[in-house]
Amino acid sequence: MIETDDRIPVTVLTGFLGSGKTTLLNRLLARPALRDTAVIINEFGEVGLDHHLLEQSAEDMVLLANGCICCTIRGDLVEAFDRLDQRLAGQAAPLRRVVIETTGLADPAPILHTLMSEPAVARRYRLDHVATTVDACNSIDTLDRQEEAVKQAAALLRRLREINPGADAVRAGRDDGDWLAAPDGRPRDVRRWLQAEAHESHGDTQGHSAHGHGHHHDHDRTRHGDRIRSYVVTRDEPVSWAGVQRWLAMLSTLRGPDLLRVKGIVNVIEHPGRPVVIHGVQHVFHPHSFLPAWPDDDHRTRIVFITRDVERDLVDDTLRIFERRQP
Amino acid sequence: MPPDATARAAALLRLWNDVALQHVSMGGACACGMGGVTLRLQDFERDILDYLRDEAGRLGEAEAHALLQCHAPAGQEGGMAAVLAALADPDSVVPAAGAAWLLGRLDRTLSSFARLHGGARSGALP
Repeated sequence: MIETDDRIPVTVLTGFLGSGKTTLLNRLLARPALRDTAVIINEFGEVGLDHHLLEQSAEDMVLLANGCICCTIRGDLVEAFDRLDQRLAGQAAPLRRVVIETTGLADPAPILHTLMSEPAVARRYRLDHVATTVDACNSIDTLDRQEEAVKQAAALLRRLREINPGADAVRAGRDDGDWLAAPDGRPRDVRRWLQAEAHESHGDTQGHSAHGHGHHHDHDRTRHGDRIRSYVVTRDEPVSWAGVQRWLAMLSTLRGPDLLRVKGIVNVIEHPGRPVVIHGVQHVFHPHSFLPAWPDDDHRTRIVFITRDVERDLVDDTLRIFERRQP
Repeated sequence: MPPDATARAAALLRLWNDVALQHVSMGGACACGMGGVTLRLQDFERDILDYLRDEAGRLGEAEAHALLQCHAPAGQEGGMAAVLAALADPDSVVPAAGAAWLLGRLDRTLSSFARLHGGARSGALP
């Protein structure tokens, strides 16, 4: 591996579902110091939406849809860097950095391993930062219940200080972009953390982390334990916004802890041409927002769910009750 | 009404009575301040009946629509138990086609709500 620092720095932005990765990334990319940043987005689900929600020019983004980046490592990630190189070839503005936004269910260790050890990537890119977002409201419960979140949050705060004493903790909204603009220069700390994760993974004979990730394997990409489900609910015709709001309130009350992530674009009867963007994590739904127009030609309502033990038919059937509700 | 249809309706009536009045409470310890909110499936009874009436009207299911209007008139609260009781009554004179259509919708809808409400336990119908 080339050890010089003229390679393009890569930041891996990870964090559990709905912990604020896209929000933080949007805020970071608005900063002048972070122009000339390319973004690789990975989404866990059948329909990728984050690339619509991210305010960045399409030329600088690569979307890895339908699969967890840690499960498709090497193939998809290497290909994504290839596609990035091809898109940027001949462009006048130099590429100064890359941000990989992982799926909220990704185990970051294999991603870092690929970045640092895959020759096709490591020749031009170097791992610079690993940033993990944590939702202050839901994090404690999430850490108790989701193995992936524990692994992601290992780079933070108390555990971080045990595993990686050199890392900084930054609060979103304060000093947002400075850490990303500045080179890290501490690759050995990241490697130590990675080694600790790798050791932990190899010692685990149960569940997702048991199969090593050092080889190609072909399994269900959206399978993170039998209880986690990822699906999208779509509607071709506009739906009642009043009904959707009541439906979401019902879902979040009845099954809030099992709604790991809900996000979507909704075509509402009440506001033609102004899609509504919804975001929710467990029982907390962020204030909805209206887009000024549709981002592309697909005007269907698309709502992505990542749930624990909440099957698609339950969500779909119950939406049917509310979708024509009168305001 | 065929015996299997009345038995199905009776099972749905038991399911409704079992879960409709149960309260679901959101976590009071959550830092978001949402604790203390409670909900019952009965809170959505009108939504379900409005949906069934709309569907029956839209799809031309006149018998089902008439049954709903009789036992759960639009604009009034309640009525689910009365609709199910009429379907479960072996002596009732509900037309078979309308009853079958309504039972199919009720079965799927109430089972979905019950499974959401209580997980797999309450979704298991005989």
